[in-house]
Amino acid sequence: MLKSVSCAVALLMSFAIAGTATAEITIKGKNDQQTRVDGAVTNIAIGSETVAEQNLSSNVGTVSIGGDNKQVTEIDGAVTNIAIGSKSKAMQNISSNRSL
Amino acid sequence: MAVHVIDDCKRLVLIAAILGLPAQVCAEVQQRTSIRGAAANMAVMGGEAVSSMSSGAGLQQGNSTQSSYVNGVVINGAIGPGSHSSVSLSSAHKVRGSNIQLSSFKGVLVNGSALVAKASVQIASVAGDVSGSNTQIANVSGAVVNAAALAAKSTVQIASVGGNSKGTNLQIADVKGAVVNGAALVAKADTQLASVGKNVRGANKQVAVMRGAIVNLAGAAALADVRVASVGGSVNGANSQSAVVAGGIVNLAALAAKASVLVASRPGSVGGNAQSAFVGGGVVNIAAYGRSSTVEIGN
Repeated sequence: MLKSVSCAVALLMSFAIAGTATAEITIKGKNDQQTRVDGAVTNIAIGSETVAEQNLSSNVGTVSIGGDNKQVTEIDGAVTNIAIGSKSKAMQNISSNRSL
Repeated sequence: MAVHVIDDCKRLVLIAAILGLPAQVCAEVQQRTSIRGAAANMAVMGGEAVSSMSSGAGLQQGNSTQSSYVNGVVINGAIGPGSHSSVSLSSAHKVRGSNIQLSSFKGVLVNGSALVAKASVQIASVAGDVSGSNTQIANVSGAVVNAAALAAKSTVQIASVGGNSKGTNLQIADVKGAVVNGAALVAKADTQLASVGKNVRGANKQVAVMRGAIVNLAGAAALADVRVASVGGSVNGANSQSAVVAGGIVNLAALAAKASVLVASRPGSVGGNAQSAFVGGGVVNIAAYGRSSTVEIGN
């Protein structure tokens, strides 16, 4: 019954795609991040030293959580994250908090 | 909605920031992932492939529930020099307080890496220390295959704690199917089910039910280690380790290697502890070229 993708998630995803994944995230209040995927989400980066980063209902940065926090992801289908190239990185975060 | 910030929590966040700990979770946290289908994460010719599902980094304090329900396929790999691949399902780095890691996995999980690589799979596990009242439960049916190559290290942890366990903690692993763990050449292969890597203090329980095969390999100059409902260090308090193994554990290793299998056992000192083990089926343990092979069941 997940209908919405929260603004926070959408923002994080766009940051990840833009490659500026150095956010300092402090959540002090009630936080709800929900994602539902019916179908496929594919993220591919090709080239030397590239980074493919895929974040669904996740917080990436210096994460501090001081309130109630809920992160839910439902996937009916496939999520794919691929980096091709020397020294490349593929980072996939689903309902997770990852520190840089 | 009321903002819910605990004063102690603020202090802990500050302390963690001073100490340089990367992440702080200090409240009611729920992380849930449900997958019906496939999740793939790969770095081809590259350095690192990291896949986290309902998992956290750093120190988690307070009440947290991390759950994952997978019905399908999870593929993670890194192929290339110096590569590193890891998959975390409902897992944490270090926890304090009242935390639950829960995972129900049905299907196939393949984790890779090659050359000077490291491959790790964590399912409902905590990599470091645990204190407070914590529970790790994993129900795995299907296959978990973990590999690595050349000077590599491969680790599979299911409902396990890598560090010390202090308080009232419970680890339960119910595994039906095959867990194959690899490594090659100057490598190390570790498989842990409902186990604690270091010392245990308090009222802790490790329970493992296994129906099927664990094959744990290694290679030249390698170490192969399987632990089922076991503790790596000393045990102090009212602890118990119980294991039912209906099926086979095959543990190998080769050349200058060491192979060990612990089932409901702890090699360190004991204060108030019970071990029970039922093995219906075979445990085969092999090593080569004069190096040690150890099997301990209910010790």
